Amino acid sequence: MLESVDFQPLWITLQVALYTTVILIVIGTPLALWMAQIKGSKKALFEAMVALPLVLPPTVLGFYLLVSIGPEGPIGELWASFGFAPLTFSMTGLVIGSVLYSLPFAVQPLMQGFEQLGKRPVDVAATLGAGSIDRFFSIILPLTRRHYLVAATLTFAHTVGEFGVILMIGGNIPGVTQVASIAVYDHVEAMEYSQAHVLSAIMLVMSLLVLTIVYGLNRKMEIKGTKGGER
Amino acid sequence: MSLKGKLHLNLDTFALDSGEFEFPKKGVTAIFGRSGSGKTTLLRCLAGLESEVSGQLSFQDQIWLTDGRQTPIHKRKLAYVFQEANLFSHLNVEDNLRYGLKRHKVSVDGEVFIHFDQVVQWLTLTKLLTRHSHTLSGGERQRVAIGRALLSQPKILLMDEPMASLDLFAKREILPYLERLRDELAIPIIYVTHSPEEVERLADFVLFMEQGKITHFEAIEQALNRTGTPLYQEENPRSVLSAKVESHDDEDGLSCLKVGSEFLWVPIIFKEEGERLRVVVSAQQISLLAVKPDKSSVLNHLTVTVKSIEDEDDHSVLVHLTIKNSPWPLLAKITKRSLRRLELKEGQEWIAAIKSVSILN
Repeated sequence: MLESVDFQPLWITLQVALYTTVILIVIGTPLALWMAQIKGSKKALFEAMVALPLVLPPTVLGFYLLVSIGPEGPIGELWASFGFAPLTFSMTGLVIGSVLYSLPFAVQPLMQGFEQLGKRPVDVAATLGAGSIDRFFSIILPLTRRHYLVAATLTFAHTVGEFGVILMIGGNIPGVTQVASIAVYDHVEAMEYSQAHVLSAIMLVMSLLVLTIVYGLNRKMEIKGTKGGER
Repeated sequence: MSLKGKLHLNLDTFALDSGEFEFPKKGVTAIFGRSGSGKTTLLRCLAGLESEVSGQLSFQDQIWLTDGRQTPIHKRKLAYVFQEANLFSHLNVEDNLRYGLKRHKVSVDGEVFIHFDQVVQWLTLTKLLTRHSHTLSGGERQRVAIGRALLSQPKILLMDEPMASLDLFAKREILPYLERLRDELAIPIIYVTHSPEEVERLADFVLFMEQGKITHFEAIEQALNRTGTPLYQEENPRSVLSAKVESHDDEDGLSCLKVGSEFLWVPIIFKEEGERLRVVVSAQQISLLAVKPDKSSVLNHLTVTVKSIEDEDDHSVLVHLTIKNSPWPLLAKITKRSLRRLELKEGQEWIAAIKSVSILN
């Protein structure tokens, strides 16, 4: 039975999730740092924008993405003018879609972490002669590491579970853009329940394993006696 | 050049409009005022912690603020001690202490003039080095914070009510350390406080603030003994004198202090000969005599000169006296009848019998 199961979709899923997580942590950090500082209606607007993917149906998000990054769309045309292969139906397209789709899962926990930490520890570090990049790596990152763990886990897990957006912009090309969630759907459609069982079971066990490890780590990473950097 | 400039800041509920100021090149300058007078705001502006501040500010050869452009905090040669210790909770005490030191060592002018071992000894931190901040008491934490600030090798130290969040015991624990810093450090210290007690123990100069403005800037001798000083609005007049330990008499349990050219006997104090301390004399504890009595139960008879005489509201006068070779004035409160009988005049020499002296240190 196992020979007839194609494991390629699992591999593609992992790749997309990994790239998406790395990219979101990198671009989510400055965005969340900035959003933790701003106030008032400006903040509300940006919080709403970041939260949009939570409430929009994935097909709506996917539709707008398709329109903008497709060969006819503004971003798609620009992309093609540099001589790159089309974004739609490619791994790059999938990652772009996932980055937008999972944005709140990275930005929200990070922003919360930075807000809890507050300005004080960062100010203290500045008075002790640390420049801004130094302050980030020596103070902010270690004191918000739990929030980073949560952000990375949620982003990764959420991307693994993605379906609608990928279907809209990535199509379903086996070996290129066919991710596990879609492969399971295909197998069910084709009445291939045993293959669907195998893929589903692997995803279930893997997800449980990853989350258990993360929650375990989270407890260990607690900084004793304090929340954030005060005291 | 010392720290000088002129600062302006508009916050929602409060405006700081300092006027021109120049801080002394050494010693402790206390910024004193009621809460809400803008002491902390001024200090934050000096450090660069307020981004909206305007005006001018320079320190030594560095321009810190001009035309709305600020030198980033980490490039200023200052250290700042906040009300709370704010130790970095992911680092132990030693790593906290070394945080600024490490960064100074790799900077352009990496010369170390305040050494790790020295600071650990000054602040008695040896036993705390491997501990984590959450296991320390409030006083211990603040000591570490002060040490951490010093080790960043500042050319000026700013302190924002470093004892305000401590209980009485922790305060008593910290004060001697602060006095030691004042006496051992060559750099100026700016110290925000609303406690007259801290001013009289620590300050060499006082800057008074009211409603966002600097109202007075004086040496401590004047600030403490000027009548109507904001330091003691509701208390009896008293004088603070700076003294040096001259000798001890263990048998009688007394110590001899030198104030200017005069001597003062006080109950024995545990300080080395040559160390400095401050004492307080209440104006009502002083009697004026024409000659030194042969026999008297009062231990202290100081030769003083009358500088001025000031009328009080309550049928008494406040006599401003000077002790030879001491810049610290001495105040005596006597009745108008005594003034008449003694025919007290400015410039005369008298003997001041001091019934009791209290020690600040």
